[in-house]
Amino acid sequence: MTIACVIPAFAQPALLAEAVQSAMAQTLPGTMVVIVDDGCPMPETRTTALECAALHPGRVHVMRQRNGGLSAARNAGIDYALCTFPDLRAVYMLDADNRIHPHFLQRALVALESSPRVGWAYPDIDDLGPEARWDTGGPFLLAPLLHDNFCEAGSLISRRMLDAGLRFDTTMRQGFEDAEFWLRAARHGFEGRHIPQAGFRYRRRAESMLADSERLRPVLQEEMRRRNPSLWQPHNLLRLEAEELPRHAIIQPGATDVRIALDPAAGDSVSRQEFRQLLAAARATPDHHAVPGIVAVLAAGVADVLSAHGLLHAVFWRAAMLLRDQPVVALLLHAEVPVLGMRLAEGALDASHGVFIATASLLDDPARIATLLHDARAMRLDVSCTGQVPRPDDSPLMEAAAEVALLPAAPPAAAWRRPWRTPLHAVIRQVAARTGIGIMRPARPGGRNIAIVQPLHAHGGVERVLLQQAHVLRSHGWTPHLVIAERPDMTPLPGLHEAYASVNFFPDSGYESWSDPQRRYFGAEVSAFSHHTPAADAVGLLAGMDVVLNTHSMACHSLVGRLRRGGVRCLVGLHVVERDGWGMPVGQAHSALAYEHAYDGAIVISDALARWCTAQGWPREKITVVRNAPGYDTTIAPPRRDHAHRRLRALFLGRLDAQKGLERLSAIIRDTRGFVDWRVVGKPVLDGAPPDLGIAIEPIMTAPDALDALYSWADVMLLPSHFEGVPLTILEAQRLGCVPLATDVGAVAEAVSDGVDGLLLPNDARCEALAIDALRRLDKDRVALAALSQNAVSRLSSARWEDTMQPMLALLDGLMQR
Amino acid sequence: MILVADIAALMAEPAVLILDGDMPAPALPLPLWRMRREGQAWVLARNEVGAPSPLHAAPLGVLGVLAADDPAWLSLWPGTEPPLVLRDVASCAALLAAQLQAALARNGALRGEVLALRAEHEAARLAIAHWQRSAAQTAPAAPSLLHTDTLGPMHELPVGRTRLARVLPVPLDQTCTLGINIRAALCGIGTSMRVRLIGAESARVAASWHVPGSALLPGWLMLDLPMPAPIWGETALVEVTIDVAPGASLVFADPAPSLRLFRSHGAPRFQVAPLHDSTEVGMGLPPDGIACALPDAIWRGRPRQLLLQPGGSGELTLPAVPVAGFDAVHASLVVSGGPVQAMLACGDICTGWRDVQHGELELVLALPAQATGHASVSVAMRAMGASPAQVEWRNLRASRGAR
Repeated sequence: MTIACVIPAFAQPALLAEAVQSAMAQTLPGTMVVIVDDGCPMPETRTTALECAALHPGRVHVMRQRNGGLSAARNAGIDYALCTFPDLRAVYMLDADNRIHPHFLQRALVALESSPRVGWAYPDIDDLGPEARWDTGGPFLLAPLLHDNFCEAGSLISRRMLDAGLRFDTTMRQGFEDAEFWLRAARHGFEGRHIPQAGFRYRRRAESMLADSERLRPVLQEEMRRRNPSLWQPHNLLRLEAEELPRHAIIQPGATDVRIALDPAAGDSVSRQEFRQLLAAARATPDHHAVPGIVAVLAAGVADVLSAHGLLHAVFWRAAMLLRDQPVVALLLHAEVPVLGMRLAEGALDASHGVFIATASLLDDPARIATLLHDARAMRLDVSCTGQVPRPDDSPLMEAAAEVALLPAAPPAAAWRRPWRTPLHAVIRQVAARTGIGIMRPARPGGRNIAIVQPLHAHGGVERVLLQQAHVLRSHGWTPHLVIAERPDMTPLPGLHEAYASVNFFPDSGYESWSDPQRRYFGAEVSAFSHHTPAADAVGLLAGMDVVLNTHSMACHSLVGRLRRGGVRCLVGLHVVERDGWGMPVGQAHSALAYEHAYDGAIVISDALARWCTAQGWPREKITVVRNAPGYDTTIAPPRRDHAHRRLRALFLGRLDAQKGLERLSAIIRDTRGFVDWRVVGKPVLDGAPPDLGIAIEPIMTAPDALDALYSWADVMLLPSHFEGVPLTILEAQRLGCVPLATDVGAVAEAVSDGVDGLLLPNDARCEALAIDALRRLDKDRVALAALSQNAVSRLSSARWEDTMQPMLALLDGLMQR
Repeated sequence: MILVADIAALMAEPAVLILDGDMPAPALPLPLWRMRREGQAWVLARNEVGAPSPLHAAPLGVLGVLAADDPAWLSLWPGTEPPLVLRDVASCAALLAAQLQAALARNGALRGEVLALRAEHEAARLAIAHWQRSAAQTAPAAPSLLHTDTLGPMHELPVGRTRLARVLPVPLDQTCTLGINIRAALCGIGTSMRVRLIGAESARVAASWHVPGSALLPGWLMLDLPMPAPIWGETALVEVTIDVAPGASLVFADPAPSLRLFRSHGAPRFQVAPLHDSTEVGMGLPPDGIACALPDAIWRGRPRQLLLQPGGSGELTLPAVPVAGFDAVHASLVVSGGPVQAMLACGDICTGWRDVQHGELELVLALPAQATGHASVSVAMRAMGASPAQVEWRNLRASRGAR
C-alpha cells in the first residue's frame, strides 16, 4: 500500500526538511515523499531535498522541473506518483512550510475510504505560528464550498479522483487554485469528507502567498466563478438550497411534525423532537447543522388559502426579505377584498394567521425572541385575498412562543475550535449576494417556468392579452407566473388563477419611475432601478425562472442583463409605439431599444410593430409576431342583428384617458345623439374624475357574458384613439358582428380592412367629421352595415390564441434547447 | 525521448553518476547508471530492472555524466539544466572533492545554526524556569470546571482489560485536574487503572496517572496534573485502561457524569501529584492494532541465539525495552533441532511455557496497565528432546489495542 506525499518546493528550503520529517514520521506504513523542486533558484532547496533523500533511503523521491507554479508542481508530483507506484491508493498534498502529526495519514485514509463517493479527505486547520485553531467539521455540502473554501489544499486525494483526470489548474497562479480544484471535483460527482482530530498544522505568516491571495480575493473568486459557471447559476443555487439547506421550517399549531423545505408547497417532514434537537444543536455549531433560516408558524388552512390565491411563494419570499431586518414578522390575511396584494404594517401578533421568525436571531438570542413574542407586536405582512380566509387568532403566536420556550436556556457546548464555515442557514443567501442576487423566490427549479412581468394588472388590454397567452402557455407545458412590478396589489381578471401558477410582486412599488436622466437613449427613458438595493431582490424573484417576458416594465429592463448572465432567457413584449403630446418618444418600444442587446428576443403584436423594431435596429431574427385574438372566450354565437327599424347603436369601451381621443369622442357623441343611441363603458386609469361626455358612463365590465351582451347590443364600436397597438376590443367586437369605427393608428389596419369588416378614420383633424359622416351613412344604409357586420364575424371566426401563439411557442422551445 | 528503467530508484537516489554509452565504470563509491541507445529511444538503467518509464522531470540527484564527448541525448534532458558533462575520472574526482568541501562547509554552517538554536533554547529555558519560580509565589485562582462528560454507558467492568476513550469537545490546554466518578469498587492487588490525557491530533500524552487498585474507591477520584497541561492547541482525549483482577469489581457512574475536566486560570497551579507518571508526558502513543517494530538499539550487545543441549535450559534477555503505551509484546522465535519449550516474560508476568517442535513460534504477552518507561523482557527456553536445539530470537514487536 502506498500513499505519496507530494511536496512542491520553492523558496522555503529551511522549512522543507520539517515537512519531510513530519511525512516520514507517519504511522501509516508505505508513506512515500515526492519533492518537486519547481525550478527554485536557491541551491539550498536542492541540497535539502537530497539530504532528505539520503536520510530516508528509497522513500524520498526528488525531482526538478522548470518553474511552473504551485499547481504545475503538484500535478507533476501526482503524475509521477501515479506512474511510479503501482499500488498507490492516494496522494497527499503537503506544502513545504506545513506539517502533519504522526497519525494524520492513517486517519485521513480512514475518512477517505469511508464511502465510494468520497474523493478527498480534509482536515481542521491548526495554525502554526498563530494560536488559532479552525474547525472545518460538519457534513460535506457543496453549497458551503461555494462560499468558503473549507477544504485545505493539505487534503488526501483518492486515486479514483486522480485517475478521472482531475488536476490543479496551472493557470491559477495567484492563489485559490485548491478551492477551484475541489469545486471542479464536486462537479465531477466527488465529495469531500472531514477528518476528525486530523493533526494538520498550517503555517500562517503575516506575508505569504495566502496573504497575497486574500488581497485579491474578489478577483480570484470571480475567476473561480468564471471557470465553474454552472455551480453559481441561480437554478443550481436553488437546487442546492432545496437539497442541502432548505430555507423553511413550517409548523402548524397542533401538528406533530415540522415540514422542512425550500418550497413552502413541498418538503419532507420531521418530528417536532427532531427539529428541536436540530435547533438546539445549531445554537452551538450553526456551521455543522443545517437548520432552516426561517421558522414559519402558519395557522391551519392558511397555506391552502395562499396557494389558492397564488400567493404562497410571494408571501414566503417577502417574509424572507423582511426578516433580514426584523427578527419576527406577522402574517395577516384580509378576506373578500377586490384586489390581491401585500402591504406592510405594524400590528398585533395575537390575532394573526402566521408568525415568521429569523433563525439567526433565534439561535443568537432566544430570550429576545421570547420577549418580542410576549410583547405581541411586530412588523406585519398584510395580504389581501379575494376569497374567504380563516379567522385570525393567537394560535400561531402561542405555538411559536412554546417552541422558543423549549429551547434550552444555555446552549450546548460548541466545538472548541473557531468555526471556519459560515453558519449553514446563511450560506445560500450570502453566495447569491456575491453574484448580485438578493433573496431568491423559494421554489425549486423544474419544468418550464415563465415569468410574465407587468407594471400593473388591472383590466387593461395588455393584461388581458397576457392572460390569454398564459392560458395557452400553460396548456403547452409551461408554468406561467404573474409578476407585478409597480404596484403592491392587482385586480384579478376572470380565469387568472387557471392561467398563472402564482402571483408575485416586486419588493416594493414606485420603481417604474426611477429613471436615469443622464443616460436617456435618444430621448427615451432608461431605468435607474438596477443601481439600487431592491434590484438584487427583484433579480432573486426572477432568477429561478427559465424565461422572463417583460411587458412594459421599465424597472425590469434594468434587470435583464443580470438575469441573462444567470441563465434566464429574457424576452420583451411590445404592444404599442407611443409619443407624448410634444412628440417625444415615450414608452416601452423606445426604451427597449436601449436594452435590445440584453434580450433574447421581442414579442410584438403586429407586422407594423415588427417593421418599426427592425427599422430601429432590432435584428430581424429577434422579432416574433404574435397577433392578438379576442381577450376573452365568448359565451355566445354572433347574434342575429335586426337593426333595420331602430336607431343606430354605438359603443365606446375602454380606458378614459387622453390616448383614447376623449375630446374626439365627446364631439362625436354630441353631434350624433340625435340619431345614435350611445353607451360609454370605462373608467380613468388613475382613478381621477371621469370626463364629461354628456352621457352617463357605465363602469368597466370584465365578465364574458356582460361583454358579450355589450357587443351584441352595439352595432358600431367607436375607437378614436391617438395611438393604439391592436386593441382587443376591436377583435372582440368583430367576433360578434359589432362593426369597428377606429382611427388608423398603430396596427389597427392589420385588424380592420377598411370598408370590408370595419371603417378606418384618419388620425388627424379630420377624424371627428369623418366619424360623424360614417355614422350617418351607416344609419341610412343598414344593408351596408349588415355586410360589414357579417364580414367582421367571418374575419374573426378563425382567430384563436392557440393559433396566433405558435410562433412564440416555437421560439420558447428553441430558447430552452440552447 | 529518454526512458528510465526503475525510475523510482533513480528519483530516490541522492547522488548518482551517469555513464554515457560504453564509458568504462570508474571505481567510485557511487551508484552508476548507464545511458544507452535502444532503437529510437535512449534508455537509462542501472540494473535493467522493470519496464522503462519516460523521464518527464529531472532527477535531482544526478551529479554529472561521464562522457568522452557531449552526449547526443543531452538536448532531451527535461528541464532547463542538463547534467554536467565530465570527461574523465579525474573530473569526477574533482567534482566529488568539490561536493565534499561544500558538504563540509554546509555541515559547519548547520552546526553553527544548531549552536545558535541551543543557545536560544537555553535562554528560553532559563526564562521559563525563572517565570515558573516567580509565578509559583502567586496564589493561583481556583480552577474552574471546564467540561462534564461520561465515559459511556456501562455495567460492571469485566475481568481483564477494558479500555475506554472519550474525545471531549474542549482543548486540553491548561487542564489542571481530571475527575473520574466511581460508583462502586472492590479492588485490590492485581487491579489497576491507567488514565491518560492525550492530545487527540498528535496522540501525545499530556498527562498520565497510574492508579493502583487500593486507590480505587467509590466517589470522585481527582487526578491532578503537577502543572497545567501545555498549550498544544489540541482536542482533549481521555483514555482509561483498567485491568480488573479476578474477584474484583469496578463500576463507573452512569448515567450521572463520570468525567470532569478542570482548567487552571491566572498564575500556574503547581501540585504534588503522587499518582502522576511524568515519564509518559510528551510521549507519542503508537497507533492501535499495529504490531510496531522496536528500535534496533534494544538488541545492542545482546545475544539473539541460544544452543540448548538435551535437558538444558537458558534465557535471552533484553534489559531495556520501551513498553510505555503498548498493551502487548510479541516475540518471534525460530527453533531448529529438537523440541523446546519457551516462555516470554516481562517483570513478574509471563506467558507460561509453550511447546514448539521445530520452526517458528510467536509468543504474545499482555503488558499490565502500569507498564511504563522501559522494562526487561526475556525469553526462557528448555530443551525437551534427546538432541540439541538451536533457538533464535528473531524479532520483538509491541502493539497497542486490538490485534
